[in-house]
Amino acid sequence: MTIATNAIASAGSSKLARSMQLLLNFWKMFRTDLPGVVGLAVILVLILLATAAPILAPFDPYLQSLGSVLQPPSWEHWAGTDELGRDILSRLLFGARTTLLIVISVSLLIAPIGLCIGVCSGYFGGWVDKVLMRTVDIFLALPSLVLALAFVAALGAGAENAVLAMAFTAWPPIARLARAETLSIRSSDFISAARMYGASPLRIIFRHIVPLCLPSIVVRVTLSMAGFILTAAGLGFLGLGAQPPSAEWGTMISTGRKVMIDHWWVAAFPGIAILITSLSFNMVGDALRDAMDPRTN
Amino acid sequence: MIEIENISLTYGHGKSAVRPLNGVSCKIEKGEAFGIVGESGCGKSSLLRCIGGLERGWEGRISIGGSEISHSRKAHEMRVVQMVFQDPYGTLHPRHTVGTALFEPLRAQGMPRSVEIVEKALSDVGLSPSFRTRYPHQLSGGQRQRVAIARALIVGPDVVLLDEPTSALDVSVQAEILNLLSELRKLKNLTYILVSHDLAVTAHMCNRLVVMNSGKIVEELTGNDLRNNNNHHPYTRELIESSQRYKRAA
Amino acid sequence: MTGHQKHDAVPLLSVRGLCVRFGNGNEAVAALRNLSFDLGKEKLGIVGESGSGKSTLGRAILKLLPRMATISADRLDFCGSDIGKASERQMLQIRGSQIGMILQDPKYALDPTMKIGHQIGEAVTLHLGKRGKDKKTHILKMLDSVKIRDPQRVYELYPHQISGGMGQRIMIAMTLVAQPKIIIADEPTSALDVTVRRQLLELLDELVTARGIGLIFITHDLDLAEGFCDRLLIMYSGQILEELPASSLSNAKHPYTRGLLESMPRLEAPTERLPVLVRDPAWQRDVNGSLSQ
Repeated sequence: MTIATNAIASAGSSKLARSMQLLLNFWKMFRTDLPGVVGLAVILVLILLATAAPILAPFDPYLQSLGSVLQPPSWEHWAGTDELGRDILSRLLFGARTTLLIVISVSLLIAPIGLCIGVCSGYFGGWVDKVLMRTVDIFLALPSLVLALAFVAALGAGAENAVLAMAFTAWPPIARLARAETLSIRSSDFISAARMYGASPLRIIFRHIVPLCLPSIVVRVTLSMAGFILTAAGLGFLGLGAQPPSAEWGTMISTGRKVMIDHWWVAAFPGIAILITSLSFNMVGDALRDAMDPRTN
Repeated sequence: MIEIENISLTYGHGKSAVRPLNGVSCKIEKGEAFGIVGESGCGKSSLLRCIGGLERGWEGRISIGGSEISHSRKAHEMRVVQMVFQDPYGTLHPRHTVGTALFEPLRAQGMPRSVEIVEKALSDVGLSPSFRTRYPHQLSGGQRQRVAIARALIVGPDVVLLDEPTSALDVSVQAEILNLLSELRKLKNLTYILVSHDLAVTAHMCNRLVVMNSGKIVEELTGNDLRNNNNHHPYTRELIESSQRYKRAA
Repeated sequence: MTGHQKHDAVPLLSVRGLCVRFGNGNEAVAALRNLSFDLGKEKLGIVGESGSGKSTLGRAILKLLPRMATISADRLDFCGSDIGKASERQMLQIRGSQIGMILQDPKYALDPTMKIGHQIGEAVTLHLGKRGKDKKTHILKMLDSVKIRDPQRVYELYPHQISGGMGQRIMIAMTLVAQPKIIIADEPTSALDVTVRRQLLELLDELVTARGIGLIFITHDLDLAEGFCDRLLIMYSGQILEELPASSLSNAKHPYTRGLLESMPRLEAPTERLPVLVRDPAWQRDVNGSLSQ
């Protein structure tokens, strides 16, 4: 058995070199797509800003200063202040944390769930497929924001429940995609060969089918991220997402709405942040799809 | 070795039902190379998939090595029969190295596995040990087919099902693969069932063959029968005539 | 290239020094190297294994290669005029109407959402300008000419309702509508069953001979090419290794051609072991002697 482990270890090191090579090739493809590179850069900068928010933020995002409410953008407050005198730029930086955290949590929740359900449905077929796909149909039939609203209303408002609600409505398209991919892979000769040497269904699913489904799932999830940002902001705006006083872009627009006519910056800056971020995720998703499409290689 | 009695296979129900196999019976001796020829849609691949356990819905009786085969087989029952597929591009998992492709069957069968066993399997099919770390897209069609043969043989089967193993290859590569298959059969005392549309290839590989048409066996021939035009069924005659060199009408 | 063309003075197609390279700079790969041949009113077989450049040749003549490919030729004369320098607009005139192409799989060449009759009809309107009743009679005539038994019925069918052999007949009919001078057929029968293959070859033979069309028949099948073609070009790694009349294929001189012939199993000559082709690196050498990829 030690020999076998050695073999696997040596295979592992060459595998690492091989994946590095793959990654390099992939980057070569990705790099040619200008919007994708820009989008990726924006997202990376955003992640950097969000992690370094406590250092970068000029003010405490919760610090109210009733002496300087609704100040227009100035050298002191680059993005102005809101109705409680809090620095909007600092709140945007901290809000990025909330937004990115929500997006990442939802993605990490739905990708494995959608993948498992879709692949099982596609591989086993028959009644398993029927039951799972009808469930998916039911979820797809409900408008996602409304379902999320009902969910949050039932569980109570808050960032965690917003994540759950969004995940609850976002997995069915992933499952659909995974099922379609599985159906085309299932009939391959290498799957027949695996069945003939007696590989178990679980082994076939996770060792053979899932790795081939992953690229399209990653693309799909990246494209959905733009939507998650909007949904998160939407829930925040309706007062069902992250609760005040915590900084969240949607909530910030919601409060800014009341004073928007005279003090545009209170709502405009969070709006621009949402626009840029969701646009970036879309551009990255598009570029990923192009780079991973075997027809372009 | 293999006895097939009155095998039928039906897809679908009622009016839209298709019957790729319609009462096929034959007997294959141990150590024999048995050929099945016919055109696309005649049911030859379906028959192979029934024997291999890839089809579940067949009716009739199949026995391998004296014991009757049920519709769903256990892993250790699957080991006895292995298969080599037609398309060298679809036969290997695109993200698995050759080494992984050969480790997996051993793992699934709970057999001892080591680099030595994998390298031995590679050298058996005429590939150097360095192929262990390669990916399918780095191999030529002939090399992929060699890996597929190694994968089939690594679990030590008694019967190997060959589904048009060389029809997607160039003739020069076909010769190498056919030679390799003949050598391995002698060396390991294997039983082959070869499905092909190419009469010359089948006659070269097999001592005995059957001609199939629309889900039925129409005639059984020996290689010599085929060469000496000793056949009776009109369909066999048509097939042989069509396979001969095209001669201009003028 | 010597010793061909007995029947006509001006060949339909005359190719001199045709080169195709994929990519640019140092990474460029030569797919075709310095190819020269003439095509008359004959069936010219281009025979080679995968990667020999035989399909690239067919597409290079029509300039149907991907953008990363560069085509260069000393001369590429079609009926006396040089298409080597023809613009894309001029090539559009030539493709389909002057030089037709038949591909391996009709499944991918026919529009799945359109009735067979209407697909041929498009070609009829485009090339002959016929409309209405005139058009339909012409379509039925075309279907009849490729020996489709019930043209009226087939006219109404969709591509998924017909067999591969029937699809290939329809492809031939569509190609013939424009009355081209040359047809390039790239493995037209490889996807078909042997019995169907024979009928299709007979049909192609008959039509091409009767209309005096020059046929370039690209195939990997030596036996087929020997029986069907008049003259053969044997290709290997982007070059023509040997040119010979099809009838004397069994007397081929080049060791590659001989090796290919010997490596085929034969019904009439059973052997224990098939002779294996040993590739000589010298076959890859250029005419001027340098070794190339």
